Amino acid sequence: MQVLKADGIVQVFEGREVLSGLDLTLGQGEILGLLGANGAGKSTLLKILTGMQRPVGGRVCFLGRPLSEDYPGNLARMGVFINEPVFYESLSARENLEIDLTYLALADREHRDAGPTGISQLLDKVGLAADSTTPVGRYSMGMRQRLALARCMGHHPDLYLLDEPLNGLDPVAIGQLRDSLRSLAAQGSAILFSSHILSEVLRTADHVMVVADGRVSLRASVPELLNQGQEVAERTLVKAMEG
Amino acid sequence: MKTLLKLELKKTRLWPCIFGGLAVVAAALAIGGMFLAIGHTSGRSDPRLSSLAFVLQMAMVILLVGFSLVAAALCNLVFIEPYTGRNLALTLSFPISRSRILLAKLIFVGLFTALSYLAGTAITLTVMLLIDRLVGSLGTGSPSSLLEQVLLMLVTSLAGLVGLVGIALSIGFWKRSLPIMFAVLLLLDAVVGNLLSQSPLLSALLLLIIFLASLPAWWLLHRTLMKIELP
Repeated sequence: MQVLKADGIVQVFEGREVLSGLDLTLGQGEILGLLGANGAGKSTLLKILTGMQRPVGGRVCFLGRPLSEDYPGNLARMGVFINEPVFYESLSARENLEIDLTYLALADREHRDAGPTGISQLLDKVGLAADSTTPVGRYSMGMRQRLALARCMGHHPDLYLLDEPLNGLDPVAIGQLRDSLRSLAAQGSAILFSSHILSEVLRTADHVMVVADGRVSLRASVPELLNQGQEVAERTLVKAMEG
Repeated sequence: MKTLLKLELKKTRLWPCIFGGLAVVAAALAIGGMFLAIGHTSGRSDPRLSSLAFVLQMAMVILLVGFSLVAAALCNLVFIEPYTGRNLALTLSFPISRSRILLAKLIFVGLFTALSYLAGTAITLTVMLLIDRLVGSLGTGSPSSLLEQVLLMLVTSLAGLVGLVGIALSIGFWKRSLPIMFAVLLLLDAVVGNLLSQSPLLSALLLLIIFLASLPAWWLLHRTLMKIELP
């Protein structure tokens, strides 16, 4: 089943075309790694796919219907993580999650039972149970990334849109994130994540998509890429990122 | 809506605004007390200065100006901070219609400001009336006309608060600048505060004009926030 489909996405900033007719599809249970040099348009694409930025041209469909049809209600079925994660700094991780889950509960009756137990499980899952009452303002970058992931996972979304989720994570946390993403995909969620760490994208994703100069310069299946060996695969990706 | 209001309460650091409100009441009491003292001593030669109605009007002007600053500080926490910079992504990620979130924010700011202003005014006026009784009453005229004047000032001051804050907030948000919002508000407060020492009816009229003038500003702010997207 197709979870996300974007056709001919065009975005222009200050007269410069950042995305030039970009197409994308993402199926249920699929993990797509999004690669590109800085300024290639990855974050812009993710913002458009969440509906938080309107493109100049093209359209986005979510679960077979235009994204704008039930917006922002559709956000209740997405786990979104754009740019650096932002929280209410004076509140604890638990309080931040309570706020998020209350908004989700308002948006979707199915999630009305999301209470403190669910929050404890989430915090445990991302390894923040011991720091759950510390104000988020005192968290390190890695802890903030993990809390952002907990926020995404809180309502079992159909689609995860994650912008640089590996930033600030140590190797252990990266491994845990990889396992989490694989497990979420196995449960049927579609995942699109961007990263600069080629080796990790190749280890986590089923497919990779490289954006260069606002266009898709490469879309390939990871097993096929890895058939030629890790080094060749990474060289191919770097070449595609150069446009 | 009740849940959305509770969420706004949870997200907002209200303590600075509560302390600000207490400081405004203290300032109104100090300045009002000073006018009372003048009325009881040298003000005897000036019938206006020795009128309790004028002294209370002055205290209410201080309260209006002070609470407009408190309300602006709250508007910064509720409107400017969440809709600018990195916080915008968080605000836009809530899967609730923007108009409902905005309405909840408006009700939250309105309730806090109105309740704190009414409580502050009640405390200030009660304390001043008690002091006036203790040290010997100033000329009050008829008690019913004094009450009418206080009520008129109270209602129009609430409208004036909405107006002053609305105009300053819209300009501040348009420029995405907290200092600009406070600069505009201080300018408006300075002009309005001086004009409000006129007769009570003229003051009421002026506050209503400010309220009406702020309606387009509120509408523009609403339209901007409804259409805002991630940069």
